[in-house]
Amino acid sequence: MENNVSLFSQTIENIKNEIRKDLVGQDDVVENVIIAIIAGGNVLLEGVPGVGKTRLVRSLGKVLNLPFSRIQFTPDLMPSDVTGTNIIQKDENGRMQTVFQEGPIFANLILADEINRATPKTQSAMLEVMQEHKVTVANTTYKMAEPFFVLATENPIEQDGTYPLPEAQMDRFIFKLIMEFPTIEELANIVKMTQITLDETANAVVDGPTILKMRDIAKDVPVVDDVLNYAMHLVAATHPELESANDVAKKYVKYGASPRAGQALITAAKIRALMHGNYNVSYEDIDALAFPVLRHRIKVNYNAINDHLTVEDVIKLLIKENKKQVK
Amino acid sequence: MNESFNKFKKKILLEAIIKSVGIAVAVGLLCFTVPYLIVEIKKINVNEFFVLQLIFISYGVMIILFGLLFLILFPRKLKVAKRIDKQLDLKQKVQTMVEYENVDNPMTNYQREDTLKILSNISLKKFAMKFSVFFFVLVSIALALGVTTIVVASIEDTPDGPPIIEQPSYDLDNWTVRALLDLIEVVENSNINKDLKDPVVQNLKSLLISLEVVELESEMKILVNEVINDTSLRLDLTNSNNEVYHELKESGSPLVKELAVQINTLNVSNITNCIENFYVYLAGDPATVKEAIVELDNDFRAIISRSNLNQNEALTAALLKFATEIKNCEDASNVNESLSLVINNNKDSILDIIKIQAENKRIIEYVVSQLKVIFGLNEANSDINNDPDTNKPIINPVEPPKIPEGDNQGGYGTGEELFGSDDIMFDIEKGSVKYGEVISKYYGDLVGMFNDGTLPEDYKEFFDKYFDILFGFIEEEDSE
Repeated sequence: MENNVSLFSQTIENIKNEIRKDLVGQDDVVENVIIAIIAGGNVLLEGVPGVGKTRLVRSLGKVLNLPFSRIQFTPDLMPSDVTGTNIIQKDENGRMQTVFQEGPIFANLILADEINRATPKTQSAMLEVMQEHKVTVANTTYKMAEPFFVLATENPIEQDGTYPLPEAQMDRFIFKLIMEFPTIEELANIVKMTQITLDETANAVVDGPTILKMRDIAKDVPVVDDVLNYAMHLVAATHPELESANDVAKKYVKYGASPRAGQALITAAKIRALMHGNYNVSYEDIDALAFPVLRHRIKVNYNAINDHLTVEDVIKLLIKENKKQVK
Repeated sequence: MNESFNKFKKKILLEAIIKSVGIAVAVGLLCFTVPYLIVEIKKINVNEFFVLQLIFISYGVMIILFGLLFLILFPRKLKVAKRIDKQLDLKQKVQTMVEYENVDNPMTNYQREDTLKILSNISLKKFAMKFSVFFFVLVSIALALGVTTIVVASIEDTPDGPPIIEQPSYDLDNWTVRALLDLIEVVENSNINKDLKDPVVQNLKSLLISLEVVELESEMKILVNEVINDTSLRLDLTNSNNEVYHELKESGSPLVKELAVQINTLNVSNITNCIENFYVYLAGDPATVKEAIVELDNDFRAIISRSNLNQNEALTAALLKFATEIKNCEDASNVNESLSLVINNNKDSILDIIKIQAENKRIIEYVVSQLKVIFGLNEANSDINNDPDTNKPIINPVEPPKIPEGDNQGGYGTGEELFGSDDIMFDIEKGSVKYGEVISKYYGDLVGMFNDGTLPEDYKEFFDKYFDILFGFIEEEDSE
């Protein structure tokens, strides 16, 4: 076990190092993406064009040595373009038969680029595969190869002709990560790097089975009742309709996070703890992951907008209130 | 849990004990000092039982509070773990270790080992005891009130104002008892009026009893002065001479005025002369006698009758009788003879009363003077000789001073012939005796004392001369 735990930290460090070869900065995003992959969750990446969303996923595909697909979502993209479809094909004997033609979703790593540009119909085609890791076409269900990971991107600007993701689909993403514009220094490094080559130079340091093994290891990380209770209170605190809701939620939150948020918090916290060399989950892990877990699961109301509060600001206030009440 | 964890637990246990003791003692101290200071500041009268109650209550509160606090603050495992995590920022490592103590899982085992390793590397010095501001404030307040209480209590012990001078104590000694008993005997053996004698004797006996329990000299003086004042007052109530004097001195008759003056002094011989002078003044030509009697009557009997004097009182009654009988002589066939008879008849009865009152005065003044001497109340104490052995005043062992009588009269002026050897003197064993009866015995005793060496030979010549003189007088008196 000791070897496995050491291997866990070492592997993650190797992944990070390889990704850094192709991606400058965005350490938090990289870390959280790795957590999400190990946790078996999907990630929604939000950022302006050119900050490295696609490059991150492509680099991850190489580092993880997993089959990688990129789907560019457009308004005319059909569900079958994603999942695949049955086609009529002649066999060796010249007889006509129906053959399932796999769509780009059949890979371990999926980059759903600009997912909000597709119609809701196409977006909903992603629901089953994201949650259950399987696709049903013409009454036939096809299971995805594990590990399966969807990394969707969306552009916060250019909202014309986009279709906001429905809440149910948003809830399927374990994290919503924000890729900030790089600093001047980072920008300079990006330019220098791309002057040499535009191709990803990262090497594969891990494979699918190792990721699955790491997932199993992380499940055993102990969580004391107080920390678990703290995390659950934080999730519950996002619901203004509950009696136990604090003043912040009542004032600024329109609707709160689903129970999946609680699961996501604890699962991710266990992995984060191991990544940071701890063998138990701490309050710090919960607080750190509260932002990526909750920011796409709660919707702030008009009061927050009126008070110029972002979702992040409200989450900060919720964490602060939760500490007072629970700790 | 191994030693790495227990070392922190022990430190927290020590902290819990310090906190429990500190708060319990502080609250206990407050329970005592606050009511005590309120009582002192508001000057509420309380007895010692109140202070005792406060002490018991304070101890009770202290013990109960210590027990409760220790139970609450007792460092249980999980509590210790949380405290270590929080204070050393160990991110719930210790709490996890404790909660998963009984879980046998590779990950929890690894977590446990890792945590213990971290704990063992942390010096106990980095884990400081924590005391809240409340603790320090409470202890400080309690200490401040404690010090204030001590200061207030010590101020009470040394009150402001002039220092109290310790009063001299008084202890009734045998000498004083003996002197008082002698004085009582003198009064009892005296011929003073019974209405005066009994209360005076009673007063002296009461004084003797009271002095046995008196501890301070000041108290003794108060008692003695009370007896002196009471005795003097009783003399004034018993003797009427002074009141009679005040009424008769207003008389227009020089004869009556002179009588009043002599009655006031209680001089027996002068009073005798005054009474006899009535005859000299009134007797003579029968034609003028009556006129003189009438005139005298207005200045004598009428004044007594009109006065506020109690006419049943012996002296007043005797004088009134005397004046009335003089007035009655007016109608007698032989006025001069009647006057002579009246004067002779009344003179003795008046003088008898005067003698009693004179004796009253003599004895009472003697008692008062002796009390002053015995108890050192005489302002002229320096004139009183002290006994070198006892350092006590020398009490005159002889008779009380006599009322001065006429220059040409002897004895007590009763008409009988008296000599010096008949003088009454005080004898320790017999009380009042005539000195002629005991002088031989005294001389014999003295010779015995010289013989056995009690008295030095140097004094023998002096005493021989003294007794020779006394014996010489007795011989002369015998020959007379």
